[in-house]
Amino acid sequence: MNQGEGEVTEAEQYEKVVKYIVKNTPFGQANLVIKDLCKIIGNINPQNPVMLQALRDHNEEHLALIKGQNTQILTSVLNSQEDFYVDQKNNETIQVDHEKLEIISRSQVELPSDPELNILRDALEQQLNLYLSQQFNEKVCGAYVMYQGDASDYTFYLGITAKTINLPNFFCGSWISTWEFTKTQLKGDLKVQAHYYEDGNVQLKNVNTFSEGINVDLSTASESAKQIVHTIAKLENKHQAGMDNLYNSMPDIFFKAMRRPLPITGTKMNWNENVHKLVANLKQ
Amino acid sequence: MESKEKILACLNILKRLPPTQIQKNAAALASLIPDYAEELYQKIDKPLDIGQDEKGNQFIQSEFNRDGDSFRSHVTNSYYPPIDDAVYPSEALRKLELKANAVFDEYRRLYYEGGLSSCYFWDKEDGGFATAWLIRKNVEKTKGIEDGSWSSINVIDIKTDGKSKWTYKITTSVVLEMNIIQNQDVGKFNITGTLTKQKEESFEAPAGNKDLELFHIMKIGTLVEDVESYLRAQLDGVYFGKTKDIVFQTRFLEGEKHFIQQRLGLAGEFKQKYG
Repeated sequence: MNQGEGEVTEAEQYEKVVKYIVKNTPFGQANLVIKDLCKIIGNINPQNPVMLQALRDHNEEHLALIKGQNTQILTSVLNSQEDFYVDQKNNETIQVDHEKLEIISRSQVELPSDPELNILRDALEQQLNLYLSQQFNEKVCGAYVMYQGDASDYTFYLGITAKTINLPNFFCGSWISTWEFTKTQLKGDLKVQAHYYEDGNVQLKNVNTFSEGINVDLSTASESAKQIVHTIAKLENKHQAGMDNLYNSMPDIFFKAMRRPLPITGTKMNWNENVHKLVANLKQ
Repeated sequence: MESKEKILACLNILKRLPPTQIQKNAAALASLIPDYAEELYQKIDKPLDIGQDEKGNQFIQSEFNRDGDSFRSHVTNSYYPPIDDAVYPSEALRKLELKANAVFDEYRRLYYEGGLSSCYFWDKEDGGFATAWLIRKNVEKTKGIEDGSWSSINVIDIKTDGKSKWTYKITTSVVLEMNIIQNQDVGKFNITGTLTKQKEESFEAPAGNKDLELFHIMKIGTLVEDVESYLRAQLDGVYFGKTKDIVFQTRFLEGEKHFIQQRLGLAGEFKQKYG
C-alpha cells in the first residue's frame, strides 16, 4: 500500500497510526487503547518502543501526574529529557514508568539556580497548592513551577492540572493549563476535555488562550506570587463561567436549531393522514 | 475468529475517539488491517454526505445507496458518477421508495424545518426487504455557533411470517457535532456525540393486504419518529450535559467545591444502596 521510495519497515507503517490514535485518546484511556492497538497489529506488546514513545508523548501533553513514595512530579515537554524528567526544585532527575504512572528512581544532580528566583518559585508553589485545594478535584491534581534565566532576565513556567478518571462508569475529564510569565507579561493556554461513553460516545474538546499584563517585584515574592495566582484563578474562573453559560443555552442555540422535540403544531406527525394525502399527490 | 477480534479492537478504540472524526480514524485503523477494512467500514456510523445529480437535486450518500465509488440518487434512481452493472431495487420496491421519500420529506419538514432527507430500499434474499431513512441537517453561523451538523441513520429490516404478520426491526444512530471557533469567554469549543438505539415491533397486515405499501410507510415512519425523538432527548438531556458535569467535578467554580462534592457523595451512596 505504501508507495514511498525505498522500503518502509513494518514498524514505520504502524508508528504513524499509533502516534495519531494515542495522541487523540482521552487521558485515562491510553493504556487500554494501546492494548487494543497491539491486538490489531499483532505480535507486539505495550513495551514495544513505538508504544512506549506514544504513551510518553501522551503523558507529557496531558501533564500526567507521576507518584512516588513521598513525592510526585508532573511530566511535561518542558522538563522532559532523554529518559528522565528534571525536578528543578529538588535538584533531581527522575525516571518514571509511564504505564503505571510511578516513579522508578531518582538521582541528585546540580542544576543552575538563582536564590531570588527560588524564593519566588517556592511562593508560587505555595499559592498554587492553595488554589488546587480550593478549586480542583484532589484525587488527581498537581502543579509545577519552573524557571529559566536569572533575576535580571527570567521566564517562569507554571502548569496546573486536574483529572477525573472513572472508567467503571465510562467517563473521563481533564483540565490542563500551562502558563508562562516574565516581569511584565503573563500568557496561558488551557485545554479542557471530557468524554462520556456509556452506550453512546460524547466528547468535549475546548481550548482557550490568555494574555495579561502584570508587574512582578522580586523583592516582594510572597505578594507577587499571590497576585500571579490570583490572576490565573480569575481567568480560569471566567472561562468556566463562560462554559456554564454556554451549556445552559445549548438546548436553545443548538438542539432546537437541529431538530424540534415536536413539530410546531405541538403534536406528533399524523402518518395516516399524511401518507394518504402525499401519495395521492404523487400520482398526479 | 482473528478478524472478529481485530475488528472488535478497532471498534473499541473508535469509541474512545471523537465520533465525527470516525471516517479518518477508521481509515487509520483500517490501514493496519487492510484485508478487513471493508468489514470495519460497514460497522461504523459516520456523518452523512450529500451528493448532487446533473440538475442540482441533492441526495444523501451512505453505505445503503453505494456501489463501489458511486451513489444512487433517491430522486432519479441513477448512480453518480454513472456506473455499469450496479445494484438497483426491484420495480415494486422502487415504487415504494418513491412514496416513502414523499412522506418522509414531510416528516423532515415538520421536525427539522430544513435539512435533507433520503429513503433507500433494497431487496433481501430471505424474501423480506430493508430500508434506510436518512436525514442530514446543518446549522451554520447562527447564535454564536460556527457550524453544527446532525446525521440520522435509521435502518429498518422488514420481515413477514408468510401469513399476515409483519415485523419491523429498527436500528437508529444519530451523529452530532457543535463547533464554536472563537467565543469571547471560552475560546474554541467543540462537542461531538453519537448514540444508537434498537427497537422491534410486529403488526398484523390490514385485511386483504389493502394498501400494504402505505401500511409499511406508516409503521416504519412511526418507529423512526419514536426512536429519533428518544435519541434527541437523550443527547440533549443526558449526554451533552454529562460532559459539563465531568468538567465541573474536575474544577469547581469559587465556593462550589464542597457543595458539588457533597452532592456527588450522596448520589454515590444512593446508587450503592438502591443500585
